[in-house]
Amino acid sequence: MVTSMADGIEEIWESEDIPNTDRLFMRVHSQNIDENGKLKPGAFRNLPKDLPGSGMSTDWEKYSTPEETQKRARKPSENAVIQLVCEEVRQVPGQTVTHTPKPEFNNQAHTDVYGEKNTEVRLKLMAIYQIVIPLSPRI
Amino acid sequence: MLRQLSIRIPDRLNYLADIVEKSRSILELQDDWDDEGSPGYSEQTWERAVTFLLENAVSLWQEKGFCVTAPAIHNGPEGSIDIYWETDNRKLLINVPADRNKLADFYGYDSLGREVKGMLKLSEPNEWLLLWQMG
Repeated sequence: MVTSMADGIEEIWESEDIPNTDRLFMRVHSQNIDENGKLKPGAFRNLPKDLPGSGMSTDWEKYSTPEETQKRARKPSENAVIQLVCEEVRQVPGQTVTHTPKPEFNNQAHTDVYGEKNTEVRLKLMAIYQIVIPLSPRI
Repeated sequence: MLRQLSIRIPDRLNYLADIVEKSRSILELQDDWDDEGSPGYSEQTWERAVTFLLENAVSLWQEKGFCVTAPAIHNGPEGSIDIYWETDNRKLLINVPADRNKLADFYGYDSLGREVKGMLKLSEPNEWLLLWQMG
């Protein structure tokens, strides 16, 4: 359970179970997208890397739209947004999906995908993602 | 001869030299290049990755007369370099870690669901893996 202070009102954000059918949204930086608009396998990684138990940050569709996920980037225009279906992520070896709301970033949707992101995991994630917001064309 | 790398590339493999040269741009990515704290890439890691690719590709050409499928060389996680093959029939990803003391991790699968995975010592001959990718 975590708490958020918005407008002076304390709100309690419980960690909830995420149904298998729900989608997760994830930002992907332009440097992790190739010239054909496809993801590079390096897009799938845990951050921050130095902390034990770090995961791959995503947003649960129950509390976020793809547009909101994109806007959480420091430079939204340099980020695409992909979606992953929970059940498919859970079928990738060693991966668990945990709702981890982040009141410090006012993000109730935040969800970590825990588990080592070795080459097998990254290639299997490459097979299940879909782009929902492509990169903006460069002017 | 590829600049700075003392590997002689046969003309038939010039397309690989072009891919390697293009991948130098990875070295321009500085710390925090993704605004999420990812580290930049060292010349040593890049050299280990492209040397592995070129040496094994040249060996495959000289010994069996095969031209390896053109891979992509990408920025990987945590300062590592990914070598990635994606064809209709096979996908293969080799990750060259930033820490030279660590082994390279690889995984691939084909359209029939057959897998290949493990760890590689980059300094040893590994033409068999490039051959597997070609199916």
